[in-house]
Amino acid sequence: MTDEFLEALEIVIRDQIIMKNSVEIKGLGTFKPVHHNQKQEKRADGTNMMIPPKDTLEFTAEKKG
Amino acid sequence: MHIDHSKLVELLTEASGLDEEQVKTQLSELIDEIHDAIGEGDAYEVDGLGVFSGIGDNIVFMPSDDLATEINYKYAGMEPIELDDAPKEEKDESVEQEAQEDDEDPFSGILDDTEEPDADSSIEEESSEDVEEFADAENEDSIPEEVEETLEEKPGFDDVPYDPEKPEEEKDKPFFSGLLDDIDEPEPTEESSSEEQVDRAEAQELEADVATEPDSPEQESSDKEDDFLAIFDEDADLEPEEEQDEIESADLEEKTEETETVEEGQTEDLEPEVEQEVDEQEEPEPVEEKVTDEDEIDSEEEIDSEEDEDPFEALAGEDEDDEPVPESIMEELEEKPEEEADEDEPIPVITNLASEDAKKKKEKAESTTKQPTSSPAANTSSPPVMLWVLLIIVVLAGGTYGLGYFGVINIPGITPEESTTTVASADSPQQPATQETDAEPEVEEDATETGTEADTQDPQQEEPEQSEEQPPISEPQQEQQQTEADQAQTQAPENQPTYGLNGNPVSAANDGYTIVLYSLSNQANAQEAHNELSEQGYRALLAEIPSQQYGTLWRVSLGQFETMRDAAIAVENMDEDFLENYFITKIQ
Repeated sequence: MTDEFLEALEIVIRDQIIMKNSVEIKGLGTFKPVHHNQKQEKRADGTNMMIPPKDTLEFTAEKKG
Repeated sequence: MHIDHSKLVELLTEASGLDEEQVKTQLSELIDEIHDAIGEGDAYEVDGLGVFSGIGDNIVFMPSDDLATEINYKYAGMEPIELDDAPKEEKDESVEQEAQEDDEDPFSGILDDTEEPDADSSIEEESSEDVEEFADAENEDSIPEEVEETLEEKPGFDDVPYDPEKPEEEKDKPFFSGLLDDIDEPEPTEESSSEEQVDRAEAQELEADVATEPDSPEQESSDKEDDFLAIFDEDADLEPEEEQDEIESADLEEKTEETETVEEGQTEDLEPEVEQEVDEQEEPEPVEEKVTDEDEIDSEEEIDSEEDEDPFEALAGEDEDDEPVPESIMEELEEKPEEEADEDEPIPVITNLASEDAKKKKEKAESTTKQPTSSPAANTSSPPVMLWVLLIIVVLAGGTYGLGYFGVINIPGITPEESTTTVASADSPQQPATQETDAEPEVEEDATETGTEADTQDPQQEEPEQSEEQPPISEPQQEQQQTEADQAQTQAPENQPTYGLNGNPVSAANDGYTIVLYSLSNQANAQEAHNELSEQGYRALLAEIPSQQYGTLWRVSLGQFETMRDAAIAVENMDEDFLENYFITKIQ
């Protein structure tokens, strides 16, 4: 594996996730973007917090067999 | 959209510049290495991408911080916001819980209520304990402790400032009223209780004698503290000791008050006779001396009481505990002279007041005789002060106006429009003309009326004329310039509404809301996205947002909307590409 390949892999996965595309690597799993809406949370000390929205990357491993 | 393996290989070949075969082999190598590492129980990190690790049979991927931030670029820098409404409700709930706890607490009723339940409970406890302990009456140590309990609990807990909910006045009033109204009440109860116990057991005689002896309070306190500690070391805190101290200090105060009243009564009996012989003007001085004497005595009492209460203050560590005793002493200070005056010597006080009135009358009479014209001025001393203040204000205002008028200080609206006219005409071209036309006739009238002032006002007279000549020429030009500037700034067509999704941004609509699509750290990329959206006909905005975590972010947003609801409605009319990720915020 060359550094160029790893760098290209990172760029491709990042760009596709940012564009809301899921990326499948055969034999490993699938990367997909997940959007979390903003929400209110009640903390243990009783204060209500407004949690901002968030985009995350989730990975689902490929099922064996 | 889903990027499958073959599409991924294509993208990788484009991005890396390698052959497709090389990409496939390297990708398969990577997958094998990841599986091998996980099979060995290790984690495998791909630089810039993240860490693959195995939990059981499952493979878990944790993206690197950089990748996670880049994916979450839209909401970068947004942090949780605390809502203000919730804590109040929580406080209310906590108060209710505390109230319930107070109701459930058996000791809170003893502390909160008045003396009556305390006395009942103490009597019940005493009776039960008496029965038990008189059964084995030979034990000398346990019996005096009962005496102490009776002595301690009779005054009640109102003396003790333990209840934070109770106002200070309520704490102090019973304490003080017990001292003033029923001075002798606590002692007879103590004596009666102690006497009953003396009759029952011979071993109590010594302690009963000690309790009845008024001259040995310190011995009482020492014995009480020792015995009380012996009893309550395991069951209670050290607070009851402090109650003892306070009660003892209260006893001390009672006794000292009695001695004071006797002594002061004697002295006051002697003093008025002397005072009557002396002139009336000298009479108030002995009263002051009395007060100072009382102050000295009371200060000594304060010191004693403070010394007694030092352990309590050190244990409690609260400021509230310091207040009641000094306040009670202050109340004593205030009320003692009244009592003495009412009971012992009402006459000297009256004569003192009369003498003071007579003094004042004499002084007034002297002042009237010396300065008959100044008496009304003295009675109305405040109006001249107000007049002086008004005069000073008028002079200062006139001075500043004059300074501004002659150009020493630049005051807009007052100074002649030499330097300000250009700015004012640029900002509001019509206002100067109207003001100057209004001002011109006045200046002319002044010039005709006073020839001497005309010389000084000539410059101002000329300037309005010049400025009056300028507007017909300058106004249209300036209007054109302004309209051109507005068009350059906003580039908005005339028919475009102030708020909306499409068109060009309007500066007047910057107080509204916008739909944020991107938050980019690269200004060039943000500008590119902004231009692209603008070409599509959207009213695209580009804002610079400072972020503590990610540095400066460039936020690309669409539309200007008057309300957040309008923005939410407008989102429905947007392309589907924008619908997945957006948020509405106030235009910054």
